[in-house]
Amino acid sequence: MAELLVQMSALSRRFSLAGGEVVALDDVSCEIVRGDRIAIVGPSGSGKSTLLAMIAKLDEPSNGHIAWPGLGSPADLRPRHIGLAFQTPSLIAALTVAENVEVPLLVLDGTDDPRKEALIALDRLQLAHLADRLPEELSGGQAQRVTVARAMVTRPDLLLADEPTGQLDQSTGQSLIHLLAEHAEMTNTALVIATHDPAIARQMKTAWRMDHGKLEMNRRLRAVS
Amino acid sequence: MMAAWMSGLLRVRGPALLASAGGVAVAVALLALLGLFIANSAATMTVRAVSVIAPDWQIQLQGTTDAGPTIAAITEAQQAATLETVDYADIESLTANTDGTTQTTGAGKAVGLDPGYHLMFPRQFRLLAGSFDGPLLAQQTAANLHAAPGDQVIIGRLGNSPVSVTIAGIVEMPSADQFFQVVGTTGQAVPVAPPDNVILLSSAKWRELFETQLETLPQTASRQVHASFDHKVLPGDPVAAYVEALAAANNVSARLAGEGIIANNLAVRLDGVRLDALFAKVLFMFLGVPGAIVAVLLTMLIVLAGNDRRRHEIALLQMRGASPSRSIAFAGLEALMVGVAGAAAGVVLAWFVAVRLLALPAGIASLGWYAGAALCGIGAALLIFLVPAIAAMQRTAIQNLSFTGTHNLASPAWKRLWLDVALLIIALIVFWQTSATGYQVVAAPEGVATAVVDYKAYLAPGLLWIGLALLLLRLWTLFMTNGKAVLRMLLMPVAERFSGIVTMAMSRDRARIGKGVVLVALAFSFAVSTAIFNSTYEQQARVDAALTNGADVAVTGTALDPASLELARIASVPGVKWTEPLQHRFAYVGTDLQDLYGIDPATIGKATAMSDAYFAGGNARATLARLKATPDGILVSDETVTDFQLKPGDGINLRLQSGKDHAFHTVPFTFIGVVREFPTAPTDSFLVANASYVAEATGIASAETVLVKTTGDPAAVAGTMRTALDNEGALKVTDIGETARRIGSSLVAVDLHGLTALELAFALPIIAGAVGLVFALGLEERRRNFAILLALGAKARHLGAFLWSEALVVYVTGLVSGLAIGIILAWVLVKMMTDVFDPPPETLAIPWLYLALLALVGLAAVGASVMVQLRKGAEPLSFALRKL
Repeated sequence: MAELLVQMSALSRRFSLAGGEVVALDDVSCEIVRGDRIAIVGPSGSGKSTLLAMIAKLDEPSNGHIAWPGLGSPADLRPRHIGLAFQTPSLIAALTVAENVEVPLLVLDGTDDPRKEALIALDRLQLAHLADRLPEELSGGQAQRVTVARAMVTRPDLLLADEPTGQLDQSTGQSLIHLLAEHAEMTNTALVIATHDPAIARQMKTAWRMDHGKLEMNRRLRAVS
Repeated sequence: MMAAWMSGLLRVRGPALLASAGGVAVAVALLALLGLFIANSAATMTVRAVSVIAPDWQIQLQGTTDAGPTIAAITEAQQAATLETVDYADIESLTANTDGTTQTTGAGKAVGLDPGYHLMFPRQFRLLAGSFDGPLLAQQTAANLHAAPGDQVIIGRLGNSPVSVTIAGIVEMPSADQFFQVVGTTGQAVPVAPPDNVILLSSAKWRELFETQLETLPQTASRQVHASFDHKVLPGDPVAAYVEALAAANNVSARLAGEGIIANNLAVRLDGVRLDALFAKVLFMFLGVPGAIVAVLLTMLIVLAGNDRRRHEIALLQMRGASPSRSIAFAGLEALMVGVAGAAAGVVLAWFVAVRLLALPAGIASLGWYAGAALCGIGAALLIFLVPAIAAMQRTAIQNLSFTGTHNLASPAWKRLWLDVALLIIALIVFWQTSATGYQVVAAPEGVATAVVDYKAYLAPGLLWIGLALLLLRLWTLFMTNGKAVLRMLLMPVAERFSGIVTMAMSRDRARIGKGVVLVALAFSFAVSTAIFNSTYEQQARVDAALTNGADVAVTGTALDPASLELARIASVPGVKWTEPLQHRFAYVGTDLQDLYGIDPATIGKATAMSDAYFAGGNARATLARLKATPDGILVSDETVTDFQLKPGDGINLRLQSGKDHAFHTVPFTFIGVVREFPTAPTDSFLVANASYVAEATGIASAETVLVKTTGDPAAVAGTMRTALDNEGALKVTDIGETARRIGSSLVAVDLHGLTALELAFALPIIAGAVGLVFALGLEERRRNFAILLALGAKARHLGAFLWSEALVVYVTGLVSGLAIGIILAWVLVKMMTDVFDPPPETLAIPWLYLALLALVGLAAVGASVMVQLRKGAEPLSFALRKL
């Protein structure tokens, strides 16, 4: 039986805003096991990013319970066990591409030559030639791929990507997803991607559909065909 | 629309607006206080100058001996005048028979005074022995005659038979120069040395003895009317008061129609003060304006922190079709809100400090300074906000949205043009020119109402300040570009594994961080230069006081009552560390009677500091050693060397009074060096010799003065000593503190201390603000970066690596550079203000304790800023991430 990495039960997240309360997650229960390939699909504002934030422990639930049984201490999830690629190019402007990718390794303090590891990760995404460039010198797509390289560099158990192809053309997007999947396969990493793109969702083994904060089918679905 | 914009600004940007207004408030308060100090110091100087109890005018009667019309004319012109008639007559000699010997002086003066004169002008005479009830001898004359109260003195009259009078007292005449001035035909006082021999008689006695001489030999006798007036009518400004004093004298001169010539002592005193007033103005500007500039720069920093947001707002306004004038008006509204609020707060702060804390008079004249400072504050705010807004209007909306100046590493125009080096060269040239004229920054030509400030001299420290700041920015950029390996090594203890990328991030962000470094350096330099200047002035005031008083405490006697007779009692007073007898005699150099000081060169330094500046060649130790090695050696003044064409080793014969026959006998000395200043010595010519040789040559071993070094408070020791010596009426005990207060110039004694204390107090929050607000620049980017780092799993210590590294680099570089710039500026300032210092300092006095306090305040501000930033970094990540 596959190792259980994340377990959520009756998870809710509400935000208080000036116009009233917004329910971003509503009674969500699900599990992620090692080797999973999950696409979270749904319209904008349906709660995909919030769910990823919960899984990455970037946010706390208002109600319900979340546990990371296969990922060790909840205080030490990122970047050792969970790698994150954000929706927007989230690179540190004053650091080069290589230095940006190096950051999780420095935080992890587990490698003697973080620069070498960073360059390997960049090479895997055909970005090695951009290593010394500053983020402001990259196109949106290049920056997005660098954030993916940064998420992968620590070889996490769980890789979360929020709309990773949002700023890429279809072919580059497909290539990126292919790379992510290949990486997940090689390292036995669970991969969770939030996306609008049905083509990407189709490449995942499983798809979860979110709508108005609810995980519509609280069970594993087969990939949408 | 504007109201809605204003309300929105207050709601969304309240704290930032408040911080900006705070910066304006500090600048406005500093400027206003600066002006108030200048106005108040001028008024105080005038009051001090005119409050001297001495005649304002000495009117010499011409062609008449009747003072009545003159007195009537003055009374008519000036109300509440104090008027006294004073008569002067030349005499051939004075002779006294004491202790079986006869002493005869050379020519002198007999003065006739109304009985109440010494009460009207109490500072003119100080009674040393006896009483005012009868003929008085001047101290030096009494010493020459070896006469004491009760002795008979024979006055040798011109063209008349000698007469004998009985001496009632011995007096010192502190203002003898002015009292005996020769009133020329133009009314200008002609400076001449006062007569060596003086006898003071009552008016009645003088008329009995010299009225005939006044009529028959008018060129040898004269009558003056001494007058003083109510000074409350004089304007506060010394220049205006000087002009009025001249005009009043002219008015009376016209009334006198040639029967009297006025020597205008009041105008002379005000003439000196208007120089001080200008010095004060120059000094206050030098010391105060940099502080206000730093406060404005601080405000700029706060405002710049919000520039990205403002640019975006302008872009949105552009996209929605707002006219350029409307966009500018929105920026102007924000500027006015900050400017008006800051100016109002600054005026209130200045008023509170000036009126409540410093008790400066809240006169109507102050309103101008408050208003001027407030306008400057509002103007600065408008410039700070409007210039970037106008620049943004030159770009398109898209350019404004994508514009980022953060990592703009293009070399700015000033750097390409080497403006920093050019400014420094110009500053050096101006400074060299100023030094070539003997640092004559302020000049008030005698008799001319308009005093002159060499405003060009401002350029030297001004350009130096700007040049050094830009040079610092250049060096910073150079180091951050080429010194990354060194920086990485330095940051290792703070940033550990992150030191590499922290160094690289700082290097790429060097333009922004450089602004912070320069601001912190300027803030420190302002505080450091002010503190050093103030300490140096205080040090020199102490040196001056020590020079005048002689030592911590001085016990001064006369030839008849030498202080050294009480040496044992003086030494037994608690708190006395060392007692040093100092002979104070008089010796004839040719026909010139000069003060002669007999010292023990080996021990004089134990009682009082022997400064190198006292001696030609600038080596006190060597000069005193030479004197010790040459028993008959003598140190003379420059003037004497010139007058007598002396070369080292030349013999010089002086005439000294013998203790055996009280007559002056020739004593040979050897000229060994030049003395320029010496404790207790006058500013004109004097001599210094070995006390043992003087004692042997004159047969008088006693010393008229005893210098005392104390271990405790000199004032307390002097107080105890006065009690211990109570029955020795002729001995006068003075301490260095009271002397400092007496001689302190109106310029500094009253106002400089207050101003510098205030500036140093302002310096602390300015430094704290500068250090703390460095983080304000690039705040948005920093928040974004922290959100990313935290999302990637970074902990507080990793964020701390970035924050502490940047903060400490900014702080340490700013502190060290500020210290260097401050010391250089203080040195330039001290050099340029040479005329303020008496004597000029040999070295700068650096107040290490205060500087350490500044450094600690800066460090505390760094710590607080980092902690605040770290707390902000700990906000919920989901919230932070939404800003990505």
